[in-house]
Amino acid sequence: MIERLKELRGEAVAAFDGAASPQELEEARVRYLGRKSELNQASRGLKDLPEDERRAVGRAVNEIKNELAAHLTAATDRLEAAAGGAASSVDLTLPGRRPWVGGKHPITRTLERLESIFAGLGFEVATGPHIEDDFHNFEALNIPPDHPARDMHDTFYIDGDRLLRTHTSPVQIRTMKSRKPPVRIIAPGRVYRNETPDASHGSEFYQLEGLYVDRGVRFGELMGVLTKFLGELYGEAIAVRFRPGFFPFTEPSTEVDIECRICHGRGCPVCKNTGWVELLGAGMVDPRVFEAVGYDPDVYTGYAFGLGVDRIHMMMCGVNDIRLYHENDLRFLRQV
Amino acid sequence: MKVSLRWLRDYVDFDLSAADLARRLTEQLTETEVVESAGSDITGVVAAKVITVDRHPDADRLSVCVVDWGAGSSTVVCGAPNVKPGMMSALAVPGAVIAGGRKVEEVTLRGRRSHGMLVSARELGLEEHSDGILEFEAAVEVGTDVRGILGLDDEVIDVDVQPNRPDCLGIIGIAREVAAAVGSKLRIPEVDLTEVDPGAPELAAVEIEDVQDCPRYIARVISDVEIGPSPAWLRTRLESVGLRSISNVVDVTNFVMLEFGHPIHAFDYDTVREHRIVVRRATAGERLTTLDGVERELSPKHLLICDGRGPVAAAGVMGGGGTEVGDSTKNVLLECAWFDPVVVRRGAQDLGIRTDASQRFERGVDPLAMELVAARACALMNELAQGKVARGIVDAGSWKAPATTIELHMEKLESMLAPGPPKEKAAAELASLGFGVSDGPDDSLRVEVPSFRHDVRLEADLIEEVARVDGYDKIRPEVPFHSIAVTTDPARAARDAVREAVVGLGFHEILTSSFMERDALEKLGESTGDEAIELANPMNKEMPLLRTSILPSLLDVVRRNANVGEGDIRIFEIGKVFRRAGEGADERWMLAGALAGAAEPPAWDRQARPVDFYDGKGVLWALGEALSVDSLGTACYDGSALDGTAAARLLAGGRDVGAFGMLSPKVIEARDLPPSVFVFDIELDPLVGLLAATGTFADLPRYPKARRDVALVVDERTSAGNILGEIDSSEEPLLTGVDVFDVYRGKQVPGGKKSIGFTLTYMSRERTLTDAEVDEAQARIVARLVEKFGASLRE
Ligand SMILES: [Zn+2]
Repeated sequence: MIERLKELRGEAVAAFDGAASPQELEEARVRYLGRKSELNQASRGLKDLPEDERRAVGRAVNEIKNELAAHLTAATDRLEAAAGGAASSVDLTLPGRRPWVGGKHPITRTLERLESIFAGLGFEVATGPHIEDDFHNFEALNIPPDHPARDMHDTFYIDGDRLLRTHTSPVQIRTMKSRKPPVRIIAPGRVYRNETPDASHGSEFYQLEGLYVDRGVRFGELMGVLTKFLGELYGEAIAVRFRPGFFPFTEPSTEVDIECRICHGRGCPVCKNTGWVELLGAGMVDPRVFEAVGYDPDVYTGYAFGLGVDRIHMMMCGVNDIRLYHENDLRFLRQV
Repeated sequence: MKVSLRWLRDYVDFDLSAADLARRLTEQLTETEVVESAGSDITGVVAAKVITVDRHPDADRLSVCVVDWGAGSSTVVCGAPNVKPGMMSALAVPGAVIAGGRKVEEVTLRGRRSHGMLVSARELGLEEHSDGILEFEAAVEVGTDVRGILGLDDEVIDVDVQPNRPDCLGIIGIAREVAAAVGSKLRIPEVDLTEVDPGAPELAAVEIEDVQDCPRYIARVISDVEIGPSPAWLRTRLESVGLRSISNVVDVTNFVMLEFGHPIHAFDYDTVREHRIVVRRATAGERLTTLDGVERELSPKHLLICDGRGPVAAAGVMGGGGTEVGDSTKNVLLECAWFDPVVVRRGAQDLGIRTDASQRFERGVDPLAMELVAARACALMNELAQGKVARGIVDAGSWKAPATTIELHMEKLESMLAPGPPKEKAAAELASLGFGVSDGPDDSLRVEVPSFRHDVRLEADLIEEVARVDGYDKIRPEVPFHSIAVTTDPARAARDAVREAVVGLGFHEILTSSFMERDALEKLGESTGDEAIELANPMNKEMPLLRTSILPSLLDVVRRNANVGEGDIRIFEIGKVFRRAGEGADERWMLAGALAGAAEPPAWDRQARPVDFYDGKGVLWALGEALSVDSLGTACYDGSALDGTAAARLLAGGRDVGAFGMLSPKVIEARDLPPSVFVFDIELDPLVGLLAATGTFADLPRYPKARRDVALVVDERTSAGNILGEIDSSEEPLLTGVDVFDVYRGKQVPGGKKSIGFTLTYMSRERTLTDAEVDEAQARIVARLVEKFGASLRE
């Protein structure tokens, strides 16, 4: 009997110490210390044993029970530690070794977003030089020399009639001069205005303009496409308002407002209590622009639109100073 | 353009609040805002007659008054010394709001109930200090809201007039838009002028040198004016839109300009020498002291108004000091002219001033309203300054107003504005804006453009007029399906791919200015050369050049970030640089980047190690791998911005595309940069061709690779690149790759030597290699290297 108990003890210690999981340990506990275990049966059978044997076996059973209980506790601690306890060799709460994490500039990300929306609407990306001439930047767009509309564009001049483009509209002119309709493009890129930068104006900023020319293009299509675009960007529920505007290269012209996203149209300082924030300028291409590029204005109509990329992002993230985009403070770049 | 609503109501009736009017104009014309006015928050204050005044039984300084305020009588307690029976004052009834948003309640003062409060000018926000309560003339009716009596109920809107609408720089122009918006009638002031002899042509003469510059000039003479202050109504009008009242005669010229949008000028007739006006260009060096007291030097680009002897005004821009109307003025010579917009614009630009007058002339004033404008001013000078208006006008030049008639085809209107208004509605809308409308041929309207709308020249312009009066919200938005093939620009796609890859390597993209300091490159030890393009009018005089390199602004970003504690830097920019190319310009896309600070992100179990050359080079080669450009190489660097011992030119596909390496210590010192900075500056366009080539698929290898290491002890001067090149040229057919796994200098190798460990990889696409054949190939290569470089093997 004693021999059998010693055997049992050896098996049980091995099982407890070797248990690799809480399940294994629990199975071992049930087998060696449970109600139906041999050890338990032995202690229940004590009363049937002769007096002297009963005492010796009883002592042995108790000793083994105590010893196994200690091994069980140790094994439990060991498994708990492995699962995240404080005594582990791997402290799961210590930070991991991170790789460097980079990111695109918010302007780039915004441009990508805009381009992908317009790609879905069938617009192709067109680009052009930053150094332009007076014809492509102004004259072809129905802004003759000495026209008061030139005041809307503070221009950086280089020499002769060379200048830095004040908008991406010259890309439209170049595209129309090199292709026959239908033309459907967007022209994203950096533009330049000779204005002292402040919180809402930069001297270098990003624009995205669009142009669609074909037979029978209507004003309603411009409204439909821009409404769709703004819905994609800010959510279908966004309220959009079209109101008259003035651009020398479109007729009729429109300024497009969205419902102020700060106050949801109730009025606040950001929207100057109007409930609306101006986001786009647009219109039907002026026949004089078609004449300048050699399209027949009696055959073709089209629409054009333009927006400030910086401004779109500012409205999305609540950035309150446009200059932040060009300071490239890493704390800003990581934030937005 | 600021517009007082009360003033506006002189010309048009409308039943809209300022906010609603602003919204309607915004939706029909241009952005319009309500300007906050002083008394806009005052409510519940009415004119009241004081009936009785009794001393307060318990307070010496207070009176108990009974006042009649129309709706009844109230007892109020008043502390003002000037309260007396029979006076007409202002009562704030309980619940009223006075200046500063203060609410008036019933109160008990020393045991007497006061049902409201008699108020002072200060309490209505009209004055800083008041000595007593307001007192009105007896004619004021009790119960009238005091805002009306005091002009506090006037509201002002600010209309953002666009350059194409000079007519709206006059209130009548705005009134015309309001009339169209609300469907009421425009009232243009009628002038009933009493004229006296002798006639104006006997009193003054006008000569125009070139009618191109000034197609028409009207002069009128008003004599015996009594210069004095303007009446309250005129002062209020001018002040409501932010103009200062000067004197009755000067105020009239400003008033009429704001009314019609046509600037006019009053000269002191007696200071106009020979009573003769000559309109001519200035001669070079001619001088004129303008009304602002500045002596200005002129040139033939300026148009002048001269008298019989010399210049008296810069035409259309500003009058001169010598002929200014002042307190002693007795007789006035009034100018109403039409100056060439371009001449006025260039003149004002050259003088660096912009005035209310120049702004209007350069946009083009209404040529047909000149007589009316002049007569209106004369009538007001007669009424307000008792001036006698000389009969007739002195009329020089002649204006053939080019009458424009446009056919508006309904088909075109409908196709543009689908659905578009019906013909009768479109006709009515145009008529409401002052266009002459009649039926034209083939379902069209024949539209005569009024002289004040010279911005309308094409059918498209008319369509806009109809669209905006009809309302843009009437147009049906549609998203039609059109199919147009879209093509992608490979260069742009390549730049996008590069950006993705660099970001993937843990870099932040930056976007910096296209402008550069004149000596930006010199500060880096390089030379700008004469290729840089210079701006004629830089905004920042310090940065007059278009950048020829991104490096200067990139390093500025490194410094600024390091200075705010962001010293671990991995940044890049993809941007354009600009160079002169013959007559034209070369715009080139560059990729520039910098690494500074720690080589690896901080972690709790490793020491921060500063960035070195190999960190940067590794990034570039990883970039090459990410973009499948495997033909990268290096060449000798000979510039000075980088540290000559840790920098190289970058070759891609055999072509020199840029430079990379550690910044030279001198530049770091001079530019106040962190201690170790790696930069790269690479031209992107040459990479486009390399990127565009797509890989060709080969079956994936089915047999295992075998690796063999060898460590060679070579002379310190032998570069790893030389050995790698030699291994490459061994042309062992089974060799598929080689890499450096270790570089060692120290006790185990002799002085002046180093050990470089290489891992060579062998593979066959046909079979599993045997150890023996791999060993043989390895031995052949090692023998070759031992011979070529005098290398020994390190065990
Ligand atoms: Zn708001």
